[in-house]
Amino acid sequence: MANIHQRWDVLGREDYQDLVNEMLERAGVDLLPANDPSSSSHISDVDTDWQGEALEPGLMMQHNLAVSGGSDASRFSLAAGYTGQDGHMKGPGPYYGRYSVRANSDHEVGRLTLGESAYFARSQTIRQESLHEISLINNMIKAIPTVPVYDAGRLGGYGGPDPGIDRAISLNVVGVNNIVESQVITNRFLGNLWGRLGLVEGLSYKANFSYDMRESEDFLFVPQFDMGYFFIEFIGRLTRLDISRQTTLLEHTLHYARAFGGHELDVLAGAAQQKTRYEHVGGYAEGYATSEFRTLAAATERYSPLHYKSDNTLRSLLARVFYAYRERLFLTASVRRDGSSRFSAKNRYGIFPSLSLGYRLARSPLRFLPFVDAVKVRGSYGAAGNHDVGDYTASALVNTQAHYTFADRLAPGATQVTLANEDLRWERTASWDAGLDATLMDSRLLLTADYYRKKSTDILLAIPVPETTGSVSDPAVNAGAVLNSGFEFTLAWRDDGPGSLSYDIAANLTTWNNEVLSLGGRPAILGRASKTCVRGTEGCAHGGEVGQIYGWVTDGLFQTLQEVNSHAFQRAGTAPGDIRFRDTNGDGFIKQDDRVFLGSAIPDFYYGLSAGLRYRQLDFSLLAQGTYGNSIYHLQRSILEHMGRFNNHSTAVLNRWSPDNTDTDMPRAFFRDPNGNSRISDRFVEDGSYFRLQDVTIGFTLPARLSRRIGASSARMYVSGHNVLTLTGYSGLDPDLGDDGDEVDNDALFSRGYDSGAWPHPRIFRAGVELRF
Amino acid sequence: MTVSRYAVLIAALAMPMAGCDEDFLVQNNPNELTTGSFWKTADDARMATNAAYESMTYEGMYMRMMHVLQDLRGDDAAGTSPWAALQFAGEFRLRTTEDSPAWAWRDAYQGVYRANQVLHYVPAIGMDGALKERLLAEARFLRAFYYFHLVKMFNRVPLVLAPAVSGGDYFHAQAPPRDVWNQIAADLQQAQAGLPRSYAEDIGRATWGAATAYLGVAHLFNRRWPEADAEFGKIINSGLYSLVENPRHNGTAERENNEESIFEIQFSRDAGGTLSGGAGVPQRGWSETHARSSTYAPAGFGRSEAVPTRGLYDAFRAESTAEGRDDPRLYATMFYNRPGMTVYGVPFEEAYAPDLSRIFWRKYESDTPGGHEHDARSGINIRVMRYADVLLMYAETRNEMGDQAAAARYIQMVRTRAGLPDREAEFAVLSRSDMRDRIAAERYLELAGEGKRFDDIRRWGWLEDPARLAELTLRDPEFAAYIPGREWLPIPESELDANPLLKQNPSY
Repeated sequence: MANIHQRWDVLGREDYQDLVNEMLERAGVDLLPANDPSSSSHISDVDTDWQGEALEPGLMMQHNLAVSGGSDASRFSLAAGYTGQDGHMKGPGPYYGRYSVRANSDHEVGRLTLGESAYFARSQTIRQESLHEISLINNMIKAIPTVPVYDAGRLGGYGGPDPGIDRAISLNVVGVNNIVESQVITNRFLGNLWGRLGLVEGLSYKANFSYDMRESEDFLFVPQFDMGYFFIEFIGRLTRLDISRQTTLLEHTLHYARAFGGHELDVLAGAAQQKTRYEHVGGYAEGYATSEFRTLAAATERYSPLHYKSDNTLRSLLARVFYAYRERLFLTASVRRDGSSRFSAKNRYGIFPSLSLGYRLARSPLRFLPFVDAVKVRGSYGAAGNHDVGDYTASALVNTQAHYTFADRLAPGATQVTLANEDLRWERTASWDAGLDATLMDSRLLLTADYYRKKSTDILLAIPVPETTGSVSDPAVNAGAVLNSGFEFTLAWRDDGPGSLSYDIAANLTTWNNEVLSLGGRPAILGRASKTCVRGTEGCAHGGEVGQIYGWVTDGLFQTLQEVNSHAFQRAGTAPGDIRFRDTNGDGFIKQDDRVFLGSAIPDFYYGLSAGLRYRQLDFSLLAQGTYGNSIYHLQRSILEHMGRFNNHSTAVLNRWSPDNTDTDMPRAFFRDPNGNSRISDRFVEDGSYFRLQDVTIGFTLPARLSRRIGASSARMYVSGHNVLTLTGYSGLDPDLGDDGDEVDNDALFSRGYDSGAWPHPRIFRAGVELRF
Repeated sequence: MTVSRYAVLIAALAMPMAGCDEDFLVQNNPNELTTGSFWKTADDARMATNAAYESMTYEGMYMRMMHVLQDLRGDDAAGTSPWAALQFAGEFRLRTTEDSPAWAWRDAYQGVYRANQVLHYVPAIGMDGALKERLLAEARFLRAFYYFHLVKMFNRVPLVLAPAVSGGDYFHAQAPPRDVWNQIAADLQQAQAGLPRSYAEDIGRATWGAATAYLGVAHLFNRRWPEADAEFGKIINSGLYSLVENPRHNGTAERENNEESIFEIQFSRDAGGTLSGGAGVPQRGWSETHARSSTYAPAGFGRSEAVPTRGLYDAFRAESTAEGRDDPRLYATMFYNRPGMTVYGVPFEEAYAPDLSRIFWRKYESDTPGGHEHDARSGINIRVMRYADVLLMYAETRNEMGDQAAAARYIQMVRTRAGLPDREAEFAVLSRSDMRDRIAAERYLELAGEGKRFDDIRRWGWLEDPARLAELTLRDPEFAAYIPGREWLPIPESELDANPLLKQNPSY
């Protein structure tokens, strides 16, 4: 059972209407009829709790079945499973269901070993659409309470705001989740076939072929509906695509292994090539008066075929040598050369070497430390390449859809709309690591410690170019260098207690320092919404961190006009009750130059804890994790505490400034926020540190005699909780920000710490049975 | 099975590897043309030129924001939008992060880029010489058209005259406005020389008349009276243009590209698809329509984010036709409460009771009985340059040059079409200063809601004159919030972030 248990405290009808009336009255603007008690259009009989209406717990189900067996020469295994995850929202989406089967086997015949594996899965995903709005969750929390969920008088039967009386842009999230049909069914096959032939003593040859195929049927049907202001569809549309993704990989390796007199040698040389093909075929059609026939052929207005292909290839040569001496000295050296179709001929290949060394201390130097069993020291260097820029990025394209009309006839147009960078090359990351593994106290205590240092150069990024170039998007470039470094520690204790008790406890800690070493010659890249490595709130500066939160600094509220006038000039409309921003450069004006870095999205450290305990038939485990020292820009609060727009707001605004309520840090309400109280500032930057109890499981295994009675060799029952408890000062729904759907390259590196309305992780409770036969 | 059979099997597996050649890592885009295979033929040149027109239909240009940015700042239109990007335009409160100036900046420069590509690549194409010259002249006209909008709204803008090839070409500092205006005039002079007077097909391409009128405007905006006068005179003497009989036909789907029209932004509800486009990479299925009609629609029939000002309504009511009726341009311009007035077929008093004093835009609204503008897809061409405008600008240059008699004649020509009394003799003896007021009053009515008024206000210096500013505020209370410097739009903040060479306009 999965549930979004978190709720925003938002205003009910009366508080909402008071707020909007207040912001308009202050601005000297006529009240909106829906909120004006003296208007015949005043709404007093609707008070929708959108979160209550939209959210509901979803059921999850999992079944797995596995069989394995074989002889000395042949082995096989078979597994089948089902997963079903119902959404946490009223309406069909989101839903995910998957059936899967997996089979592996291998056979030895003399000097030859043959093996195969096959995996097949069929899945169905029902998506949530949000029309042209960005995030369904943001639309849910800001939806106004004076709109009903259902309205039989509107096309489609769902309520919506009226441009004449509400004037709020408010999406009916229940309506959109029910009306729009959006799903994808995917059949996936992953097959692997390999053969290994012993040639001479120690030398073998292996060929491996793998094929990964995903065939999807994608369906998006938007029927005619009227959900009010800005959410009206008069035509009815269908997009239907068959999407095919295929990756073939072929590898040849020669492997030589030999041990002699305490020496151990393992040499591998190989070649690999991979081809990934993408293709979609289908169509887009318009004109569906009803939802009865939802095929492309049933459209009455317009049909256009859709067809797109995209291939990329990768070819690699690699060699690796492993050498060990008496289990004391370990050495690995490797080099690989990768060629990618994504780069032009002159930049196609990258060469990436690596070297690692390990030394296990002999017993003798440790004899003075009797509680130490063994110590191993390690050091490594490795280089790796990244070609994650999308296919054909390096070539300049001509768009052939740039049409105009002359006297109502289409005039075909074609032009280059995006600048391209033909000099793209491999991004490189060089990693150094030095570490130590120790086992102590009769192998009950395990300690590992590492220092890592990763330097990425020629990072593939879309750097913002000025709009004056005319490019509709920023060309990808190899822009700059970033250094990541830190320590990793793991400490684990494992022991047996009295009787049949056994337990283990482990903790880990990872620190992370990030430094921008270069930005392709520029001192800083500052935020620009949705077009680049950094978003509106963020910036990167040479010597700083990537994706730091960037904005103005608040300094309390103005209480009097005199305070406004004696402060640096902010805006023409600034008045008591507005936020005072700090004039960081002291020029007497609050302008964009006054923005500064407000916080780091990168934690000082991550940590994790795990514990397990087994006693007789009972088992217990828990897993916890957290971060410390990171900041989050809380976009949702900037919407819910805006107080200049007609959307709904959080209950925090009930404490807003007024001449009678001056002892507050919540600014005044004023139509359209003339002072920019809701601009990007530290007002919405919060500490994102958290501790989360990620998993807790309690299991009970039936005594053997009981399980035999039901024909099983073992039987275990368990209950578990996922995402059970979170301790945090963050006021948003979830400090562990999930994927917000932003399609920025290098996502992990650059778009942290920005809560733009990702769904929180659901809280999941499971109960299960495991049977073995 | 013997070992050798397995060896054959492994060899078979290895075959695909052996079969591939050096071309394995060469993957060409199978979906789209690359620039390397474009810019070869006359068709390529023509399509690239068409694409340079397309930017005029983007959302920052005449799909939506250009209307808002031009009209709402005038005293003829006021905002009623919940969206600050629209509403703040008329109140001179636009912030540096607002979408409306950012989109206008973006889309005008995309148009410049497309025109620059034509001017850069087409000269080398082996093709019919006459067609080549014409297409290059069209591109020059379009480049001037985009820069005209940029410089008159942002004042200090970079002057980019060639497509960027390498990273070194991405960053430009702002040019002095004079340089931009000179480039506009130079481009228009060349366009004037290379463009035909009319087209047998493809009606709507830039003509000699369009280049000449905008060249006159470029001089007029810089107070170069004789030069402007000469260009407007050429238009009038060409005999190519005349006023349409019904003033309503300057804003309807019928009678597009008519005898009064000098340059129109072409839109169509029927050509093209229905997807709202106008931003980013052009897509198949994009609608060839604009959202002005919905944005300016009467309440209940569209998004209704702008209305005419009470001052404009009163100005229309100040003078009746020779027969004593309302100025027909009032009915062409606005929905208002008069006997028999319907709004999309609904009687006015039924639609707006109890408040029958409300007024709404009718110019560029379809007003189809039973219809509405909710889908924000209008195909009505936007008449950005028409003969009546040229006549009144000619009256202005004549007046500035001391020829009040001619000024009176051309003013009356426009008035006569509206059925207003003949006052030519009365106007002919006005002082230069009084004649300026007369011209201003006539332009206010004739060109209401056509994006001209704020340019007039600014270039006449009214914003610096407290008495004029008070009059403006009386007609349109939005002017109360005007502060000096806000006649220019803010340089988009994202652009300042992306280009350290740029400086923000004062007052932001």
